[in-house]
Amino acid sequence: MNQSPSTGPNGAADSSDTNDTGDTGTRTLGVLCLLGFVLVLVLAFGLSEPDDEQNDLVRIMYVHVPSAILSYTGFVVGALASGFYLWKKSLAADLLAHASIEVGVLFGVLTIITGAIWGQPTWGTYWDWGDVRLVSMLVLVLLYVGYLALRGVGGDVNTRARRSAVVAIGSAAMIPIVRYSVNWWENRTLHQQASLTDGKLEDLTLFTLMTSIVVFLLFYAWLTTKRFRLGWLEHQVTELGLDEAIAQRRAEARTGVDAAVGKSPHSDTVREGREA
Amino acid sequence: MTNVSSIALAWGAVIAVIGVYLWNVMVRTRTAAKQVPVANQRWMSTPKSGGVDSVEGSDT
Repeated sequence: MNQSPSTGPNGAADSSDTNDTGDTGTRTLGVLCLLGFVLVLVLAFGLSEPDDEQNDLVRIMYVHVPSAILSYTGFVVGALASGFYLWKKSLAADLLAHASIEVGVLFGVLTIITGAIWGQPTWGTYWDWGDVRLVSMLVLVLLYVGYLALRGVGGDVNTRARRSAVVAIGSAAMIPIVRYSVNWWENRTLHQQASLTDGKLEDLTLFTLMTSIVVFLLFYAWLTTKRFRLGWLEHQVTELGLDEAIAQRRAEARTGVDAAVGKSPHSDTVREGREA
Repeated sequence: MTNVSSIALAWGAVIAVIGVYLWNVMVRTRTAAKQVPVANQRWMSTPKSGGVDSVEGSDT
C-alpha cells in the first residue's frame, strides 16, 4: 500500500509537519496527569487538615514521599531494563534505561530538596552529614548522575550501552541500603521510619498521600515515555547522519507537495531518494 | 522560615524543576524530530534504518 506520510497509522507522528512524538495514548496519559495534579492540589491545600505532629508541614510530604518513590522506581526500572539489554542486546531496553534513570535522578534531586526544606523547620537543620538516610540518598543520586555522565562519554552505541548497563545494575545495590538505612542504623538518623504502613496517618492525610503517589507514578510513565522517544529520535539523528536525514525529510515534504498538485508520490521522489 | 514559606518553597521547587526539565525535553524532541524522517520517528512500528522506501511503505 502506498501512502502519503500524512495519512499513516501512527497518528500525529505520520504528519510531515510533525515535530513531536505525541499520540493518543500519551496525550490521554498527559491529560490524566494534569487532572490528577489538580486533584492533589485540592486535596493537599483545600481538604486535608494539618497533621497532629507536623502541622501544616505535612503538605510538603505530599510531594516529598512521591518524589522518593518515583526516584526508586526510575532506578529499579532502569536497572531491570539494563539487565534486559545485557541479555537481549535490545536498543530499546538501553534507551528505556536511560530515560527511566534520568527521570529517577530528577525526582531524586527533588526528594533531597524537598526533604531539606522540610527538615529545617522540623529538625532545625537543612542537612546533616552524619544522617545515614540523607547521605545514602545523596550517594544513590550521585551514582546515577555518574551513569548519565558515562553515557556522554564517546564510543559506539553497543559499548556505551554495555558499560552503562553495568553501572546501572551495580548502582541499584544502593537502593535497599537507602530504603532500610532508617531501620538498620536508627540511632544515626533524624529521618523517621516508614510512616505509610504504621497506621499513624489520618484518613484524609493518607488518602491525599496515596493519591499523590498514584498521580506521580502516572506522571513517571508519561515522562519516561516522552524521554524514551526523545532518546530514539536522537539515536536516529546519530545513525542516519544529519545530511542524509535532511535529504530524506525534503523528499517527504516534496512527496506531500506532489500529492497536493496531483502528481504521483512515487516517481520522482523515490528515484531521487535512491540516487541520493 | 515560616511553615507557609517552607511549603511554598518546596512545592515551587518541584514545579520549577519539573517544568524546566519538561521544557528541555520538548525542545530537544522538536529539534530532533525535524531531522529524522517521519517513518523513523516511532520505534515500534517502523524499520530501524530509514530511506524513502521506508517512508512510503511504513505500514507494511
